[in-house]
Amino acid sequence: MMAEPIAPIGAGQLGLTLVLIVLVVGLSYYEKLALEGEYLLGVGRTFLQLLLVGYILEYVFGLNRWYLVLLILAVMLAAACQAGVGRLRRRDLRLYPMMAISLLVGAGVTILVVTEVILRIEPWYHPRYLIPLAGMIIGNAMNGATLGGERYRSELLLRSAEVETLLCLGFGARRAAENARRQAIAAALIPTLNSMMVVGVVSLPGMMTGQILAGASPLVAVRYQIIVMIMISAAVSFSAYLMVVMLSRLYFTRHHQICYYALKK
Amino acid sequence: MSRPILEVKGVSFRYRISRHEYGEPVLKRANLEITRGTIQVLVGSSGAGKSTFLRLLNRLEDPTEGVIRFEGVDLAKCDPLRLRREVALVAQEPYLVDGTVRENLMLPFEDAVGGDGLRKKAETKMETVLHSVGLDGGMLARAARGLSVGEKQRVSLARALMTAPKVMLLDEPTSALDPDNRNLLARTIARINSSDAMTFVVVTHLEDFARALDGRLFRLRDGEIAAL
Repeated sequence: MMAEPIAPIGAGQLGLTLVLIVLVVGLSYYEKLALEGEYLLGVGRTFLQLLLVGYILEYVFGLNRWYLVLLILAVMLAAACQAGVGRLRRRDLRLYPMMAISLLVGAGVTILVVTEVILRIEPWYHPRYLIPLAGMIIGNAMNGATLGGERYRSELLLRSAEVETLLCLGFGARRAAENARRQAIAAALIPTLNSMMVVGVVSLPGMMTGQILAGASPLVAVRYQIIVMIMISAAVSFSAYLMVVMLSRLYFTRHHQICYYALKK
Repeated sequence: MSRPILEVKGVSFRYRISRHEYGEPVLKRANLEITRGTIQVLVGSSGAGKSTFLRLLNRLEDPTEGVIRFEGVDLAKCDPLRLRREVALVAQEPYLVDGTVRENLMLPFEDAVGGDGLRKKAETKMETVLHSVGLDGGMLARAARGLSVGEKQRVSLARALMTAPKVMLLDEPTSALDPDNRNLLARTIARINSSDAMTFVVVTHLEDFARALDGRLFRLRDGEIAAL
């Protein structure tokens, strides 16, 4: 499969990216974008975070222990949970368990099906497969949950006349919020749908590019990419759906009343 | 005198501003007794809490203090979904679903427990109900989207009448009507009130319209209700 081994990148070569960095900083300075500081911080974080992750993964791959792999997945989930709640920009502690459940279930089910049913990796925790795949799934699940959650809130505010009319006609909160819920879940899925439509035509996805650069046959790489696209769509829909359904408990009382205070800032 | 159909006792209300904080009081120990089959008219300037008062009567909100009873039962003990079919509220901004007037009138029967029988009965009622709000049967096939605001208001009133509620709460029903249509609406309310013995609670900021309704007048000011 590995037609030729991937060419290693030396520290000197990495240092040569400085040429491009200087050009970007120059552009920012010339056009007074005032982004030099932020850009350099971004560059610094990219170097630091990725090198660090590289060392950690190298270590974990070497030890090949199931508990270390699970620990890494747990850290990923916790970080995604924190970042996801942060993006919703609401000060409500009840969002944490909701985000955690939607990621745990939405991403968890997808990870299980992909690694244990479709790929059947051996051993079940094979870090070289499980960690990168889980990372992609969790990241996309977080996007789904935040996009869906935020859209649900704004749809409920926008459609408050519709929701209240349905409540007044004696319908329950679930029926009254039906259109808002649909819109929210659809909105969460749209970026994924769009990328599925043009995948391979407009651009080659990052993972596939990486595999090809690493020397894999394009035929193998596309098969992985197909699985990745499907698993991303699954993770996004599951977690967006779960988040929206759970948020209903925040936005409606059990007496089918809208909690406006929770919908507004 | 018979037992009031709705009874508001010492009701105060503050909107929640967060999970544990409440805003300024909108209602302060308000009292009102509503006799079955009457028209009650609540006047007050905008922002006086008139809409909030109606929202309390069909449990879109719950009072922070005091008790409201419907046919003698504390609203807090009523199933809100069943209550809202008996105490119907027509909002100031009429909302109609996309589709025809017919679909809008049949909307309340979408999940009818009675099934087809109930739906068939409702269908035979549609034209009569439209007539009662001053619209003709030809409206049924028209798209809700193409209606004027005044027509939309009438259709949403008709839709609420379809379930034959015991109490009808109308929030600023004249907001989109010219004086002629206002008088027409006042006559419509009087007619339904006398023919079906339906109780009306109407909220308005227009004193003329309030008087045209020929009901019991109240004023809501500074969170308190006083008879006029």
